Amino acid sequence: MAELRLQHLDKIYDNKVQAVFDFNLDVKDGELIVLVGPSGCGKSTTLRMVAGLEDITSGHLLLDGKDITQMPPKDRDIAMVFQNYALYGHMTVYENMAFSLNLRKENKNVIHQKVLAAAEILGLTDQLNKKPAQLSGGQRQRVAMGRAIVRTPKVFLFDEPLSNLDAKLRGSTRREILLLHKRLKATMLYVTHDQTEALTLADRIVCMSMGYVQQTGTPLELYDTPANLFVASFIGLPPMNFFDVTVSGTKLINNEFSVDLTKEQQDLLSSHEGKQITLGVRPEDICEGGNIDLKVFSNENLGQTTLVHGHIGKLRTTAKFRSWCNYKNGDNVKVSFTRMHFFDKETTNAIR
Amino acid sequence: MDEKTLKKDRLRYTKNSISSGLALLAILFNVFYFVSIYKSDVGNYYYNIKIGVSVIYNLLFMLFTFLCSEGVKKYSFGYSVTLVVVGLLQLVRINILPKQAHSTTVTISGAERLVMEDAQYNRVIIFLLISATFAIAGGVIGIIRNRTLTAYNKSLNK
Repeated sequence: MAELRLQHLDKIYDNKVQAVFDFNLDVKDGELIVLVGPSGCGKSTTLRMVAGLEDITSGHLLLDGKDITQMPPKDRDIAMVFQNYALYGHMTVYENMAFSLNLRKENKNVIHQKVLAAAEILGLTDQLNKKPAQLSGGQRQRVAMGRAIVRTPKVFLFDEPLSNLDAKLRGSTRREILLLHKRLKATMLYVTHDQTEALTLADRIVCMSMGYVQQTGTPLELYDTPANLFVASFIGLPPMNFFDVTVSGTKLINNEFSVDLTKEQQDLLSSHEGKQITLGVRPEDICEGGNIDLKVFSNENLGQTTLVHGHIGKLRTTAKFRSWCNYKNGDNVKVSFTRMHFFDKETTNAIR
Repeated sequence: MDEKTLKKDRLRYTKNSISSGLALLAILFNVFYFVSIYKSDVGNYYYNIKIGVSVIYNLLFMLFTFLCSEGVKKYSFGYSVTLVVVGLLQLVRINILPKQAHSTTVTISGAERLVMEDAQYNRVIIFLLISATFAIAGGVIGIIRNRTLTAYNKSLNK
């Protein structure tokens, strides 16, 4: 497998629209990197640049230290799995998986062994004589993965491979991809807009917005210490609640509530004394009991947890309680914040 | 798996495209054959029941050979045998229209001439021979592969 290095990649389309700005990333051997972000943030464009399906306007792409920026896609030794599978409908699973190797005119017996091995890994041995139309969505996606595996490429690219699957199948296929990664120990770049996929699959996540990398880090780093408001709002389900507050000595205050700060937090916010900042609180960091009034307007029981939607003052807030609750519309619940994130109001960056 | 076994195992997942391709080539050379015959300018020699039967046989030949080309793709024994039979019939056809036309004369504009000159005769014979060879070869390969695959599947089941 291989190390991939993306250096200062820019993508400007012919109509002068810039889709990717100064993208930098070092992918280690055997690492699974997930590019996550909303639609139009440039993640698929970045992946397509790596695959060679889009020209790189400026910057360099290095695979194992070799510059492959101008190299045609077929010579890059990179395999891509597409969202829509891109299988040939008139070919059987076996033929689909063997297709790229047949094009390379590899030895038929070698092709056969590679296809059987990939089918074994993906649990497709019994489906080899079927055509894609006879398979379920998950099986088709596995065939698409198999087609990539047989090539034994240096890098695997996945462009939203689970988007066409239903929720249940998405979960199981996600686990299969994870197992596949562990088994092949392959370098993988995976694009998704689904943060659950990102958090569960990634060794590291690259969070993107508007063509810029917002933060790169492990799933826990992005969840625990988001670099800015965008990452904080994008990572986490339900999303983080935000409140405009003013730093006032040992407290954070706004019209609706005030929160006491610990000594550490006071030190952290000392440079923002008297200024307005954005306070971020994850729903799971709001607990019952305290001095803040949450006026409930809906209550969603999820079994082990309950999502309580309401307002703190005029600000819409979601809390996630670790118990079965039966609050009704109009109920007033006293809550407190167990953990808080602080963001600069002007730069939107986290205050650290 | 050794090379031999791998080759057999491949039959389980790949089509018999050689036999299928040979069958299609047999059709192609049959087309060359009947086009060569039908474009002859020999008065009304061909205007009889024989040419009617020949046209119908050509259509049937193409239909059956095409069906065989699809059947042998899946290593069907029946279609392989049919392809061999169809190929043998092509050989028999040499002795019907071409041979008769080659030994018959007609009078056109007061001049007597052969219905089928040597050059045309040789051409149609070659087309029929090639068509027959392809069909028989496709069928024989189909039969051999069918036998190999059946035996291999049996050994797997054991």
